[in-house]
Amino acid sequence: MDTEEIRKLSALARLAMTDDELKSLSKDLNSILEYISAIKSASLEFEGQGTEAVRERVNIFRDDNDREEPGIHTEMLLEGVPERDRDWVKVKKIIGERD
Amino acid sequence: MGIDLEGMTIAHSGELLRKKKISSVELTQAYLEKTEAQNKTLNVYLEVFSDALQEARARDIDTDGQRLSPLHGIPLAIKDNILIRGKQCSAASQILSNYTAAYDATVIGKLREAGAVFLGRTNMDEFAMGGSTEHSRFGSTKNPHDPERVPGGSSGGSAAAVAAHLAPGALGSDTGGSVRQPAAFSGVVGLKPTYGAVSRYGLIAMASSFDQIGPITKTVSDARIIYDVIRGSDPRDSTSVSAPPKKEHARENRTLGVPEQFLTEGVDQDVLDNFNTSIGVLKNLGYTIRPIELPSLKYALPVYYIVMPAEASSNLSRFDAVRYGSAAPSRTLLEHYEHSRGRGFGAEVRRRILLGTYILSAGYYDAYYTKAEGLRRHIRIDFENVYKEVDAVLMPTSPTPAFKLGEKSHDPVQMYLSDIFTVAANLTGHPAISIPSGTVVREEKVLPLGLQMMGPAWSEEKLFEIGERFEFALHGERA
Repeated sequence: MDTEEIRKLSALARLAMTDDELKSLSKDLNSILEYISAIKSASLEFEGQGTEAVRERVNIFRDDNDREEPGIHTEMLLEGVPERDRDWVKVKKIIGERD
Repeated sequence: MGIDLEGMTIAHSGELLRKKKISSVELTQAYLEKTEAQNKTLNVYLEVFSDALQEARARDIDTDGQRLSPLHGIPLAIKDNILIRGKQCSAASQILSNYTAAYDATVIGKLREAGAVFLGRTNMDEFAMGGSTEHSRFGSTKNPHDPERVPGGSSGGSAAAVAAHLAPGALGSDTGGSVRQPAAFSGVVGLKPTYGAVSRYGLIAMASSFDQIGPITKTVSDARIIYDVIRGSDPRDSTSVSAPPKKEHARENRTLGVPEQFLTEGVDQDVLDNFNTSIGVLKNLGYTIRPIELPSLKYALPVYYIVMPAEASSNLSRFDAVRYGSAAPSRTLLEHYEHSRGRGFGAEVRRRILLGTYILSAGYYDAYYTKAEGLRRHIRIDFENVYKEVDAVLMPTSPTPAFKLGEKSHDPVQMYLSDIFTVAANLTGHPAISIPSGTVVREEKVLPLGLQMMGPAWSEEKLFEIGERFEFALHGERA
């Protein structure tokens, strides 16, 4: 992974990075990648087991019952909002010039 | 009244409380005073709850509760990633430094109902990412056995709390060993339950297919007490399951397996010697020890460091400082996200998010994630096959005793290697317990070591049984 690739990843992950941080991260991440690439040596008998693993999983849903009264948590939840306007969560402009 | 906190266990305190020899207020007060004296040095608690005594008082008045639960009136320490309604919860991160929990975690609700008292929230590696508690944004915790060493991580605060007698028991969370390894480093017991045994609702998620909340206590019996209260299926956590009905044992718990080939490299000689001594103790107790083969075990750690960061990067995407959390100044929405998260997350967290993002990105997904999940399945099947021949698998909990502060924090892979024996249980979902197994002297300091026992899914009772017998053989009857 070069610093350019890490820059792209940090954009994807919405993480601001300084150039120094990018450099030290590059070193760390490459060292980790080298370690985890040990799985490349795992033999072909393991192929296909990934999809098998996914197929074995079952989603569990519960019925949409037992609803709480609307509004009972509103104030408590809004208290934690960094920017608030009455009962609304304030965010920066979403539609505008391209970044 | 001088309460001897060093000799105090949950079981013993419970007995004294029920016989009215002490009150919850006296017990809680004793822990609060000791914490007041030692927390600045050890940095165990990020916050001591100001209402702990008030809660203890309420327990003393509630006489009905005393007949029902062994945890009634017992004070406990809670890791800073388990939500307690109305209390701050930060996962030791700057991005949640101003967050107040809007609800109780299910385990907290259960402990409340059982009459437990919450002493405070304990220090941890940020978002549970680490093996030393050095990655907390609020300073490291010191190992009570040697303040120049780490208590382990990520539940280092919880383990140190119990080891320093600042709480008789604590909750931690275990994703790759984060309950067991600090328990071993700190000389206490730590259990990672079967995946799904304990609800994760209200636990700040790190890697959702690995995380489990587990007790950290002085004795195996105390771990069982907490486990019995916190476990159970929860409609709010669709991955939680009730234990299946107990089957009659086809065979008594008599045979224990050791993956000898896995213990040859990278393990401290003192740890190996202590492990062999533990095996001797178990043999004297009548257990048969068999070498077992787990050929896929060598992939366990790399598999863990592929799947876990992938899941964690996904889980941490919710922290956008919009609905809650600490927002950085910004001009645009994108800047808001990037600066709040860039500033709010520490270096290790950012490393793992980026690693996870890379692993899940197009072009690498199959080579890493899918392959790792396949290997993971294979590791689980290997273990399930081994459990047809043995009742439990033994390993040292950690390849070394507690290392020094700063010793591994500059080399991520070195830090990750300390998880080498613990990750398997998270990959398979099987339960595992770490039990103090003796000590080693390093630079004139006496450092604890831990023995890890792993069993098949839902074998906690078996692990408790073997653990209690081992504990008794080492220490005799504990109060």
